[in-house]
Amino acid sequence: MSGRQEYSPDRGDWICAGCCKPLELKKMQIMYLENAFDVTLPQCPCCGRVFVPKSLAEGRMAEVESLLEDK
Amino acid sequence: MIAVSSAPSPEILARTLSLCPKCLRRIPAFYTPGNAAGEVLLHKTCPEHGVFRTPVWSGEPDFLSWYTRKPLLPLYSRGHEGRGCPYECGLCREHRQNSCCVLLEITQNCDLNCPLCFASAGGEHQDPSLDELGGLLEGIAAQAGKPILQLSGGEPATRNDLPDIIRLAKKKGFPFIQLNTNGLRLGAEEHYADALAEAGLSVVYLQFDALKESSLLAIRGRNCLEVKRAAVRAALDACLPVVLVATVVPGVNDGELGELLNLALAGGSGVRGLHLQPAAYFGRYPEELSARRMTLAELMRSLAEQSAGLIDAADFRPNSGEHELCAFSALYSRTPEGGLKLLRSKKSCCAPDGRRDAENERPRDGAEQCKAFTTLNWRHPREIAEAAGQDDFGRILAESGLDLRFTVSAMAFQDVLSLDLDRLQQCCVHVADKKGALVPFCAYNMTGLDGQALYRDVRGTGLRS
Repeated sequence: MSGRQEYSPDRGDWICAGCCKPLELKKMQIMYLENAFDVTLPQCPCCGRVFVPKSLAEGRMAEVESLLEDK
Repeated sequence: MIAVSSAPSPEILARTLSLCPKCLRRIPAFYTPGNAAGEVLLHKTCPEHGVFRTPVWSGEPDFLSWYTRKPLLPLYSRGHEGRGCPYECGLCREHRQNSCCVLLEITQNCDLNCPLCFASAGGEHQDPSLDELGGLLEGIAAQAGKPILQLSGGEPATRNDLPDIIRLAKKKGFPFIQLNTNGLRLGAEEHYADALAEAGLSVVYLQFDALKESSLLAIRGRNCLEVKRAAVRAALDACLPVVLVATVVPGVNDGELGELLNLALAGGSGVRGLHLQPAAYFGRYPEELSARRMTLAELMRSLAEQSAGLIDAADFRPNSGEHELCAFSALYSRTPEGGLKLLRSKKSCCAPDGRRDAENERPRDGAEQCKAFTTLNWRHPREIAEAAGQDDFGRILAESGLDLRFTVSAMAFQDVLSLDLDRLQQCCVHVADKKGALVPFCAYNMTGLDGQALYRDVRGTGLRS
Protein backbone atom coordinates (compact mmCIF):
# COMPACT_ATOMS: atom_id res chain seq x y z
CA MET A 1 0.00 0.00 0.00
CA SER A 2 1.40 3.33 -1.05
CA GLY A 3 0.46 6.69 0.40
CA ARG A 4 0.34 7.92 3.96
CA GLN A 5 0.50 5.12 6.49
CA GLU A 6 2.35 7.05 9.17
CA TYR A 7 0.37 8.90 11.80
CA SER A 8 2.42 11.19 14.00
CA PRO A 9 0.74 13.05 16.87
CA ASP A 10 -1.19 16.06 15.62
CA ARG A 11 1.00 18.33 17.73
CA GLY A 12 3.64 18.20 20.45
CA ASP A 13 5.98 15.56 21.83
CA TRP A 14 4.20 12.90 23.81
CA ILE A 15 5.45 10.72 26.60
CA CYS A 16 3.81 7.62 28.06
CA ALA A 17 1.98 8.56 31.26
CA GLY A 18 2.83 5.23 32.90
CA CYS A 19 6.47 4.82 31.84
CA CYS A 20 7.56 8.44 31.28
CA LYS A 21 9.19 7.36 28.00
CA PRO A 22 8.90 9.37 24.78
CA LEU A 23 6.65 7.67 22.24
CA GLU A 24 8.29 6.29 19.10
CA LEU A 25 6.78 5.73 15.67
CA LYS A 26 6.44 1.98 15.08
CA LYS A 27 5.03 -0.04 12.22
CA MET A 28 2.21 -2.27 13.36
CA GLN A 29 -0.91 -4.01 12.21
CA ILE A 30 -4.20 -3.15 13.83
CA MET A 31 -7.29 -5.28 13.48
CA TYR A 32 -10.90 -4.17 13.50
CA LEU A 33 -13.85 -6.40 12.71
CA GLU A 34 -11.68 -8.89 10.78
CA ASN A 35 -9.94 -6.18 8.78
CA ALA A 36 -6.20 -5.57 9.06
CA PHE A 37 -4.63 -2.14 8.75
CA ASP A 38 -0.88 -1.64 8.32
CA VAL A 39 0.01 1.64 9.95
CA THR A 40 2.81 3.44 11.72
CA LEU A 41 1.68 4.92 15.04
CA PRO A 42 3.32 6.40 18.15
CA GLN A 43 4.01 3.67 20.69
CA CYS A 44 5.61 3.51 24.13
CA PRO A 45 8.87 1.56 23.75
CA CYS A 46 8.48 0.29 27.30
CA CYS A 47 4.88 -0.88 27.82
CA GLY A 48 3.84 -1.05 24.17
CA ARG A 49 0.77 1.14 24.52
CA VAL A 50 -0.22 2.82 21.26
CA PHE A 51 -1.33 6.42 20.83
CA VAL A 52 -3.92 7.11 18.15
CA PRO A 53 -3.82 10.77 17.09
CA LYS A 54 -7.11 12.64 17.40
CA SER A 55 -7.23 13.48 13.70
CA LEU A 56 -7.02 9.80 12.78
CA ALA A 57 -9.43 8.65 15.49
CA GLU A 58 -12.06 11.20 14.53
CA GLY A 59 -11.34 11.04 10.81
CA ARG A 60 -10.63 7.97 8.72
CA MET A 61 -10.72 5.55 11.62
CA ALA A 62 -14.18 6.76 12.66
CA GLU A 63 -15.36 6.50 9.06
CA VAL A 64 -14.14 2.96 8.73
CA GLU A 65 -15.69 2.05 12.06
CA SER A 66 -18.99 3.50 10.96
CA LEU A 67 -18.80 1.73 7.62
CA LEU A 68 -17.80 -1.67 8.94
CA GLU A 69 -20.48 -1.59 11.60
CA ASP A 70 -23.05 -0.69 8.97
CA LYS A 71 -22.33 -3.85 7.00
CA MET B 1 -38.75 18.73 30.23
CA ILE B 2 -41.61 17.14 28.37
CA ALA B 3 -42.35 13.60 29.40
CA VAL B 4 -44.11 11.23 27.03
CA SER B 5 -46.07 8.75 29.02
CA SER B 6 -47.27 5.38 27.82
CA ALA B 7 -50.95 5.16 27.02
CA PRO B 8 -52.81 6.04 30.24
CA SER B 9 -56.17 5.45 28.62
CA PRO B 10 -57.30 3.87 25.36
CA GLU B 11 -57.94 7.26 23.86
CA ILE B 12 -54.63 8.90 24.74
CA LEU B 13 -51.62 7.33 23.10
CA ALA B 14 -49.06 9.85 24.32
CA ARG B 15 -49.00 13.29 25.89
CA THR B 16 -46.94 16.32 25.00
CA LEU B 17 -47.14 20.10 24.76
CA SER B 18 -47.90 22.23 21.72
CA LEU B 19 -48.98 25.75 20.83
CA CYS B 20 -52.36 27.25 20.16
CA PRO B 21 -52.31 27.85 16.40
CA LYS B 22 -54.10 31.17 16.90
CA CYS B 23 -52.46 32.86 19.87
CA LEU B 24 -49.26 30.74 20.00
CA ARG B 25 -49.64 30.16 23.74
CA ARG B 26 -48.23 26.89 25.03
CA ILE B 27 -50.94 24.32 25.70
CA PRO B 28 -51.16 20.59 26.53
CA ALA B 29 -51.66 18.19 23.64
CA PHE B 30 -52.06 14.48 23.19
CA TYR B 31 -52.02 11.86 20.47
CA THR B 32 -55.29 10.03 20.01
CA PRO B 33 -56.72 7.58 17.48
CA GLY B 34 -58.59 9.15 14.57
CA ASN B 35 -61.59 7.79 12.73
CA ALA B 36 -59.71 5.83 10.07
CA ALA B 37 -57.87 2.62 10.97
CA GLY B 38 -54.37 3.40 12.13
CA GLU B 39 -54.91 7.14 12.00
CA VAL B 40 -53.49 9.21 14.86
CA LEU B 41 -54.35 12.83 15.56
CA LEU B 42 -52.60 15.47 17.61
CA HIS B 43 -55.38 16.89 19.76
CA LYS B 44 -55.06 20.15 21.67
CA THR B 45 -57.39 22.64 23.31
CA CYS B 46 -56.75 26.33 23.82
CA PRO B 47 -58.94 27.78 26.60
CA GLU B 48 -59.57 30.80 24.41
CA HIS B 49 -59.60 29.40 20.88
CA GLY B 50 -60.96 25.90 21.25
CA VAL B 51 -60.02 22.47 19.95
CA PHE B 52 -57.56 21.70 17.15
CA ARG B 53 -57.01 18.22 15.75
CA THR B 54 -54.43 17.39 13.10
CA PRO B 55 -53.56 14.02 11.53
CA VAL B 56 -49.93 13.07 12.21
CA TRP B 57 -49.90 9.34 11.46
CA SER B 58 -51.88 6.97 9.28
CA GLY B 59 -51.81 3.19 9.06
CA GLU B 60 -48.82 0.87 8.93
CA PRO B 61 -46.36 0.81 10.52
CA ASP B 62 -48.48 1.06 13.63
CA PHE B 63 -47.96 4.35 15.48
CA LEU B 64 -46.99 2.80 18.81
CA SER B 65 -44.63 0.28 17.25
CA TRP B 66 -42.79 3.16 15.57
CA TYR B 67 -43.04 5.70 18.39
CA THR B 68 -41.32 4.15 21.39
CA ARG B 69 -38.56 6.53 22.34
CA LYS B 70 -38.19 7.48 25.96
CA PRO B 71 -37.11 11.00 26.86
CA LEU B 72 -33.41 11.73 26.49
CA LEU B 73 -31.47 13.62 29.10
CA PRO B 74 -30.92 17.38 28.92
CA LEU B 75 -27.60 18.44 27.45
CA TYR B 76 -27.44 22.18 27.95
CA SER B 77 -27.56 24.36 31.04
CA ARG B 78 -28.83 27.61 29.54
CA GLY B 79 -31.99 28.66 31.32
CA HIS B 80 -34.90 30.89 30.39
CA GLU B 81 -35.63 34.43 31.37
CA GLY B 82 -39.22 34.57 30.25
CA ARG B 83 -41.71 32.28 28.60
CA GLY B 84 -39.39 29.33 27.97
CA CYS B 85 -39.77 26.75 25.21
CA PRO B 86 -40.31 27.41 22.32
CA TYR B 87 -40.13 31.17 22.68
CA GLU B 88 -36.50 31.50 23.80
CA CYS B 89 -34.45 29.20 21.55
CA GLY B 90 -31.07 28.82 21.51
CA LEU B 91 -30.24 25.46 22.79
CA CYS B 92 -31.34 25.41 26.41
CA ARG B 93 -31.88 23.14 29.36
CA GLU B 94 -35.05 21.78 27.73
CA HIS B 95 -33.16 20.59 24.66
CA ARG B 96 -32.03 16.99 24.48
CA GLN B 97 -30.12 16.63 21.24
CA ASN B 98 -26.96 18.11 19.83
CA SER B 99 -26.64 19.72 16.42
CA CYS B 100 -26.22 17.31 13.55
CA CYS B 101 -26.80 19.86 10.82
CA VAL B 102 -26.77 23.64 11.17
CA LEU B 103 -28.35 25.83 8.52
CA LEU B 104 -26.77 29.17 7.80
CA GLU B 105 -29.04 31.43 5.77
CA ILE B 106 -26.58 33.46 3.74
CA THR B 107 -29.28 35.41 1.91
CA GLN B 108 -33.03 36.05 1.92
CA ASN B 109 -33.02 36.82 -1.82
CA CYS B 110 -34.29 34.23 -4.24
CA ASP B 111 -34.51 33.87 -8.02
CA LEU B 112 -37.44 31.46 -8.01
CA ASN B 113 -40.08 32.93 -5.68
CA CYS B 114 -41.93 29.63 -5.17
CA PRO B 115 -45.58 29.62 -4.17
CA LEU B 116 -44.45 27.22 -1.41
CA CYS B 117 -41.54 28.53 0.68
CA PHE B 118 -40.92 27.89 4.38
CA ALA B 119 -38.62 30.92 4.50
CA SER B 120 -41.06 33.25 2.73
CA ALA B 121 -37.99 34.23 0.71
CA GLY B 122 -37.97 36.87 -2.00
CA GLY B 123 -38.02 40.62 -2.32
CA GLU B 124 -34.80 42.57 -1.97
CA HIS B 125 -32.68 42.14 1.09
CA GLN B 126 -29.24 43.20 2.16
CA ASP B 127 -27.08 40.09 2.47
CA PRO B 128 -24.84 39.60 5.49
CA SER B 129 -21.22 40.41 4.74
CA LEU B 130 -18.42 37.87 4.68
CA ASP B 131 -17.22 39.27 8.00
CA GLU B 132 -20.66 38.84 9.53
CA LEU B 133 -20.88 35.30 8.20
CA GLY B 134 -17.42 34.59 9.60
CA GLY B 135 -18.64 35.66 13.02
CA LEU B 136 -21.73 33.45 12.73
CA LEU B 137 -19.61 30.49 11.65
CA GLU B 138 -17.36 30.94 14.67
CA GLY B 139 -20.44 31.08 16.87
CA ILE B 140 -21.80 27.87 15.37
CA ALA B 141 -18.48 26.10 15.89
CA ALA B 142 -18.32 27.32 19.50
CA GLN B 143 -21.77 25.96 20.27
CA ALA B 144 -21.99 22.87 18.10
CA GLY B 145 -18.43 21.79 17.31
CA LYS B 146 -18.20 20.69 13.71
CA PRO B 147 -21.72 19.93 12.59
CA ILE B 148 -22.69 19.46 8.99
CA LEU B 149 -23.10 22.97 7.64
CA GLN B 150 -25.91 23.64 5.20
CA LEU B 151 -25.71 26.91 3.31
CA SER B 152 -29.30 27.94 2.81
CA GLY B 153 -31.51 30.93 2.21
CA GLY B 154 -33.28 32.31 0.15
CA GLU B 155 -31.26 30.94 -2.74
CA PRO B 156 -27.57 30.86 -1.81
CA ALA B 157 -26.47 30.96 -5.46
CA THR B 158 -27.89 34.48 -5.83
CA ARG B 159 -24.73 35.57 -4.02
CA ASN B 160 -21.78 35.95 -6.34
CA ASP B 161 -19.40 35.34 -3.46
CA LEU B 162 -20.81 31.88 -2.69
CA PRO B 163 -17.46 30.19 -3.49
CA ASP B 164 -15.79 32.60 -1.05
CA ILE B 165 -18.35 31.71 1.61
CA ILE B 166 -17.64 28.00 1.08
CA ARG B 167 -13.91 28.67 1.38
CA LEU B 168 -14.54 30.69 4.53
CA ALA B 169 -16.53 27.85 6.09
CA LYS B 170 -13.78 25.38 5.23
CA LYS B 171 -11.22 27.71 6.77
CA LYS B 172 -13.32 27.91 9.93
CA GLY B 173 -13.10 24.14 10.22
CA PHE B 174 -16.43 22.87 8.88
CA PRO B 175 -15.57 19.57 7.22
CA PHE B 176 -18.82 18.88 5.36
CA ILE B 177 -20.72 21.63 3.57
CA GLN B 178 -24.07 21.17 1.87
CA LEU B 179 -25.55 23.63 -0.57
CA ASN B 180 -29.33 23.85 -0.34
CA THR B 181 -30.15 25.14 -3.81
CA ASN B 182 -32.89 25.36 -6.40
CA GLY B 183 -30.24 24.58 -9.04
CA LEU B 184 -31.15 27.40 -11.42
CA ARG B 185 -27.68 28.92 -11.53
CA LEU B 186 -25.98 25.55 -11.30
CA GLY B 187 -27.88 24.36 -14.37
CA ALA B 188 -27.53 27.55 -16.39
CA GLU B 189 -24.06 28.92 -15.79
CA GLU B 190 -21.11 27.18 -17.36
CA HIS B 191 -18.31 26.23 -14.95
CA TYR B 192 -20.30 27.39 -11.91
CA ALA B 193 -20.34 23.85 -10.48
CA ASP B 194 -16.57 23.68 -10.98
CA ALA B 195 -16.14 26.88 -8.98
CA LEU B 196 -18.21 25.47 -6.11
CA ALA B 197 -16.34 22.17 -6.19
CA GLU B 198 -13.01 23.95 -6.23
CA ALA B 199 -14.07 26.04 -3.23
CA GLY B 200 -14.64 22.85 -1.24
CA LEU B 201 -18.38 22.18 -1.41
CA SER B 202 -19.20 18.67 -0.20
CA VAL B 203 -22.65 17.95 -1.65
CA VAL B 204 -25.42 19.61 -3.62
CA TYR B 205 -28.72 19.31 -1.76
CA LEU B 206 -30.81 19.93 -4.83
CA GLN B 207 -34.46 20.91 -4.73
CA PHE B 208 -36.07 18.52 -7.22
CA ASP B 209 -39.77 18.00 -6.54
CA ALA B 210 -41.32 16.60 -9.66
CA LEU B 211 -41.08 15.85 -13.34
CA LYS B 212 -44.58 16.89 -14.36
CA GLU B 213 -45.08 20.44 -15.51
CA SER B 214 -48.30 20.82 -13.52
CA SER B 215 -46.57 19.79 -10.31
CA LEU B 216 -43.65 22.13 -10.86
CA LEU B 217 -46.01 24.99 -11.61
CA ALA B 218 -47.97 24.32 -8.42
CA ILE B 219 -44.94 24.02 -6.15
CA ARG B 220 -42.30 26.19 -7.84
CA GLY B 221 -44.36 28.51 -9.98
CA ARG B 222 -42.58 27.63 -13.23
CA ASN B 223 -41.57 24.63 -15.26
CA CYS B 224 -37.91 24.39 -14.30
CA LEU B 225 -37.41 20.71 -15.11
CA GLU B 226 -34.78 21.11 -17.81
CA VAL B 227 -32.61 23.50 -15.85
CA LYS B 228 -32.80 21.17 -12.88
CA ARG B 229 -31.73 18.24 -15.02
CA ALA B 230 -28.89 20.41 -16.26
CA ALA B 231 -27.98 21.21 -12.65
CA VAL B 232 -27.66 17.51 -11.85
CA ARG B 233 -25.43 16.98 -14.90
CA ALA B 234 -23.27 19.99 -14.12
CA ALA B 235 -22.77 18.94 -10.51
CA LEU B 236 -21.87 15.38 -11.45
CA ASP B 237 -19.50 16.58 -14.17
CA ALA B 238 -17.75 18.67 -11.52
CA CYS B 239 -17.55 15.60 -9.23
CA LEU B 240 -20.01 17.13 -6.80
CA PRO B 241 -22.29 14.51 -5.28
CA VAL B 242 -26.01 15.25 -5.50
CA VAL B 243 -28.96 14.44 -3.26
CA LEU B 244 -32.35 15.06 -4.80
CA VAL B 245 -34.71 16.76 -2.35
CA ALA B 246 -38.44 16.81 -3.01
CA THR B 247 -41.16 18.63 -1.14
CA VAL B 248 -44.11 16.25 -1.33
CA VAL B 249 -47.51 17.90 -1.56
CA PRO B 250 -50.54 15.58 -1.36
CA GLY B 251 -52.61 15.75 -4.52
CA VAL B 252 -49.80 17.45 -6.44
CA ASN B 253 -46.62 15.36 -6.71
CA ASP B 254 -47.26 12.47 -4.32
CA GLY B 255 -47.79 10.23 -7.34
CA GLU B 256 -44.30 10.97 -8.71
CA LEU B 257 -42.23 9.35 -5.96
CA GLY B 258 -41.40 6.32 -8.11
CA GLU B 259 -40.34 8.55 -11.00
CA LEU B 260 -38.14 10.61 -8.69
CA LEU B 261 -36.55 7.41 -7.39
CA ASN B 262 -35.91 6.21 -10.94
CA LEU B 263 -34.45 9.56 -11.88
CA ALA B 264 -32.08 9.46 -8.92
CA LEU B 265 -30.98 5.92 -9.73
CA ALA B 266 -30.53 6.70 -13.42
CA GLY B 267 -28.28 9.63 -12.52
CA GLY B 268 -25.48 7.24 -11.65
CA SER B 269 -23.55 6.71 -8.46
CA GLY B 270 -22.85 10.44 -8.04
CA VAL B 271 -26.51 10.82 -7.08
CA ARG B 272 -26.23 9.68 -3.50
CA GLY B 273 -29.81 9.75 -2.35
CA LEU B 274 -33.40 10.83 -2.53
CA HIS B 275 -34.71 12.92 0.36
CA LEU B 276 -38.41 13.64 0.76
CA GLN B 277 -40.09 16.33 2.80
CA PRO B 278 -43.88 16.17 3.17
CA ALA B 279 -45.13 19.73 2.93
CA ALA B 280 -45.61 21.51 6.24
CA TYR B 281 -47.62 24.65 6.25
CA PHE B 282 -45.45 27.43 7.56
CA GLY B 283 -43.98 30.39 5.77
CA ARG B 284 -45.57 30.92 2.33
CA TYR B 285 -47.91 28.45 0.64
CA PRO B 286 -51.09 28.42 -1.42
CA GLU B 287 -53.96 27.99 0.99
CA GLU B 288 -55.67 25.41 -1.19
CA LEU B 289 -52.70 23.05 -0.85
CA SER B 290 -52.88 22.96 2.94
CA ALA B 291 -56.11 20.98 3.16
CA ARG B 292 -54.39 17.56 3.23
CA ARG B 293 -51.35 16.28 4.99
CA MET B 294 -49.07 13.41 4.13
CA THR B 295 -47.82 11.53 7.16
CA LEU B 296 -44.50 9.71 7.30
CA ALA B 297 -46.34 6.38 7.39
CA GLU B 298 -48.23 7.25 4.22
CA LEU B 299 -45.01 8.40 2.59
CA MET B 300 -43.24 5.11 3.36
CA ARG B 301 -46.08 3.11 1.84
CA SER B 302 -46.40 5.38 -1.19
CA LEU B 303 -42.70 5.12 -1.90
CA ALA B 304 -42.85 1.34 -1.69
CA GLU B 305 -45.96 1.13 -3.86
CA GLN B 306 -44.45 3.31 -6.56
CA SER B 307 -40.98 1.78 -6.53
CA ALA B 308 -41.80 -1.31 -8.64
CA GLY B 309 -40.42 -3.57 -5.94
CA LEU B 310 -37.16 -1.72 -5.35
CA ILE B 311 -38.22 -0.55 -1.89
CA ASP B 312 -40.24 -2.18 0.89
CA ALA B 313 -41.99 0.05 3.41
CA ALA B 314 -40.45 -2.13 6.13
CA ASP B 315 -36.97 -1.02 5.01
CA PHE B 316 -37.37 2.26 6.83
CA ARG B 317 -36.28 3.04 10.37
CA PRO B 318 -36.40 6.17 12.52
CA ASN B 319 -33.21 8.20 12.36
CA SER B 320 -30.73 8.22 15.19
CA GLY B 321 -30.67 11.94 15.79
CA GLU B 322 -34.22 13.02 15.19
CA HIS B 323 -37.44 12.27 17.00
CA GLU B 324 -39.21 9.23 15.55
CA LEU B 325 -42.12 11.30 14.27
CA CYS B 326 -39.72 13.58 12.41
CA ALA B 327 -37.73 11.34 10.09
CA PHE B 328 -37.00 7.96 8.56
CA SER B 329 -34.28 6.55 6.36
CA ALA B 330 -32.97 3.44 4.68
CA LEU B 331 -29.53 2.66 3.33
CA TYR B 332 -29.12 0.66 0.14
CA SER B 333 -26.45 -0.54 -2.21
CA ARG B 334 -27.01 -0.14 -5.94
CA THR B 335 -26.94 -3.52 -7.70
CA PRO B 336 -25.39 -4.08 -11.16
CA GLU B 337 -28.91 -4.73 -12.49
CA GLY B 338 -30.04 -1.25 -11.49
CA GLY B 339 -31.82 -2.38 -8.34
CA LEU B 340 -31.33 -1.70 -4.67
CA LYS B 341 -30.14 -4.03 -1.94
CA LEU B 342 -31.02 -3.03 1.62
CA LEU B 343 -28.06 -2.54 3.99
CA ARG B 344 -29.20 -2.83 7.58
CA SER B 345 -27.23 -0.73 10.01
CA LYS B 346 -26.10 -2.72 13.03
CA LYS B 347 -25.11 0.49 14.71
CA SER B 348 -28.50 2.02 14.22
CA CYS B 349 -30.82 3.01 16.96
CA CYS B 350 -33.00 -0.03 16.49
CA ALA B 351 -33.32 -3.15 18.57
CA PRO B 352 -33.71 -6.49 16.74
CA ASP B 353 -37.46 -6.16 16.53
CA GLY B 354 -37.05 -2.85 14.77
CA ARG B 355 -37.99 -0.78 17.78
CA ARG B 356 -35.75 1.84 19.22
CA ASP B 357 -33.43 0.77 21.98
CA ALA B 358 -33.72 4.09 23.76
CA GLU B 359 -32.53 2.93 27.15
CA ASN B 360 -29.16 2.01 25.71
CA GLU B 361 -28.82 5.08 23.55
CA ARG B 362 -26.53 7.75 24.90
CA PRO B 363 -27.82 11.28 24.30
CA ARG B 364 -24.87 12.35 22.22
CA ASP B 365 -24.93 9.30 20.00
CA GLY B 366 -27.91 10.29 17.92
CA ALA B 367 -26.59 13.48 16.37
CA GLU B 368 -23.15 11.92 15.90
CA GLN B 369 -24.67 8.93 14.13
CA CYS B 370 -26.68 11.20 11.88
CA LYS B 371 -23.56 13.14 11.00
CA ALA B 372 -21.63 9.96 10.26
CA PHE B 373 -24.48 8.63 8.11
CA THR B 374 -24.52 11.77 6.00
CA THR B 375 -20.81 12.43 5.67
CA LEU B 376 -20.01 8.82 4.88
CA ASN B 377 -22.77 8.12 2.42
CA TRP B 378 -23.16 11.45 0.64
CA ARG B 379 -19.69 11.68 -0.87
CA HIS B 380 -18.73 11.38 -4.48
CA PRO B 381 -17.47 7.99 -5.79
CA ARG B 382 -14.37 9.68 -7.14
CA GLU B 383 -13.43 10.89 -3.65
CA ILE B 384 -13.88 7.35 -2.40
CA ALA B 385 -11.65 5.98 -5.17
CA GLU B 386 -8.99 8.58 -4.44
CA ALA B 387 -9.00 7.64 -0.77
CA ALA B 388 -8.02 4.09 -1.70
CA GLY B 389 -4.53 5.23 -2.61
CA GLN B 390 -4.00 7.18 0.58
CA ASP B 391 -3.91 4.51 3.29
CA ASP B 392 -5.43 1.22 4.41
CA PHE B 393 -8.41 3.01 5.90
CA GLY B 394 -9.13 4.58 2.53
CA ARG B 395 -8.64 1.22 0.85
CA ILE B 396 -11.22 -0.39 3.13
CA LEU B 397 -13.64 2.45 2.41
CA ALA B 398 -13.17 1.99 -1.32
CA GLU B 399 -13.35 -1.80 -1.28
CA SER B 400 -16.47 -1.89 0.87
CA GLY B 401 -18.81 -0.75 -1.86
CA LEU B 402 -19.26 2.67 -0.29
CA ASP B 403 -19.37 4.16 -3.77
CA LEU B 404 -22.51 2.16 -4.55
CA ARG B 405 -24.47 3.30 -1.55
CA PHE B 406 -27.78 5.08 -1.96
CA THR B 407 -29.93 6.62 0.75
CA VAL B 408 -33.67 7.12 0.81
CA SER B 409 -34.77 9.41 3.59
CA ALA B 410 -37.52 11.75 4.69
CA MET B 411 -38.13 14.48 7.18
CA ALA B 412 -41.54 15.67 8.36
CA PHE B 413 -41.43 19.28 9.43
CA GLN B 414 -43.86 20.58 12.00
CA ASP B 415 -46.21 23.47 11.50
CA VAL B 416 -48.33 25.18 14.11
CA LEU B 417 -51.06 22.53 13.92
CA SER B 418 -48.74 19.52 14.18
CA LEU B 419 -46.17 21.03 16.57
CA ASP B 420 -45.09 18.74 19.41
CA LEU B 421 -42.58 20.32 21.79
CA ASP B 422 -41.16 16.90 22.60
CA ARG B 423 -40.18 16.60 18.92
CA LEU B 424 -38.80 20.11 18.92
CA GLN B 425 -36.65 19.42 21.96
CA GLN B 426 -35.11 16.37 20.29
CA CYS B 427 -34.35 18.21 17.06
CA CYS B 428 -30.81 18.03 15.69
CA VAL B 429 -31.39 20.30 12.66
CA HIS B 430 -30.83 23.86 13.76
CA VAL B 431 -30.84 27.26 12.13
CA ALA B 432 -28.28 29.85 13.16
CA ASP B 433 -30.33 33.01 13.65
CA LYS B 434 -29.01 36.52 13.02
CA LYS B 435 -27.52 36.68 16.50
CA GLY B 436 -25.95 33.25 16.17
CA ALA B 437 -28.35 31.36 18.45
CA LEU B 438 -29.10 27.80 17.29
CA VAL B 439 -32.85 27.42 16.87
CA PRO B 440 -34.56 24.13 15.95
CA PHE B 441 -35.59 24.34 12.30
CA CYS B 442 -39.33 24.04 12.91
CA ALA B 443 -39.33 26.63 15.69
CA TYR B 444 -37.41 29.02 13.48
CA ASN B 445 -39.91 28.69 10.64
CA MET B 446 -43.07 28.44 12.75
CA THR B 447 -45.95 30.71 11.79
CA GLY B 448 -49.36 30.93 13.40
CA LEU B 449 -52.75 30.62 11.70
CA ASP B 450 -52.66 34.34 10.96
CA GLY B 451 -49.13 34.15 9.50
CA GLN B 452 -47.47 35.59 12.58
CA ALA B 453 -43.91 34.24 12.79
CA LEU B 454 -42.42 32.92 16.01
CA TYR B 455 -38.85 33.83 15.00
CA ARG B 456 -38.53 35.15 11.46
CA ASP B 457 -39.10 38.81 10.82
CA VAL B 458 -41.34 38.13 7.83
CA ARG B 459 -44.95 37.09 7.98
CA GLY B 460 -46.15 33.83 6.52
CA THR B 461 -49.38 33.10 4.70
CA GLY B 462 -51.44 31.89 7.59
CA LEU B 463 -53.34 28.64 7.82
CA ARG B 464 -56.89 27.48 8.08
CA SER B 465 -57.57 25.46 11.20
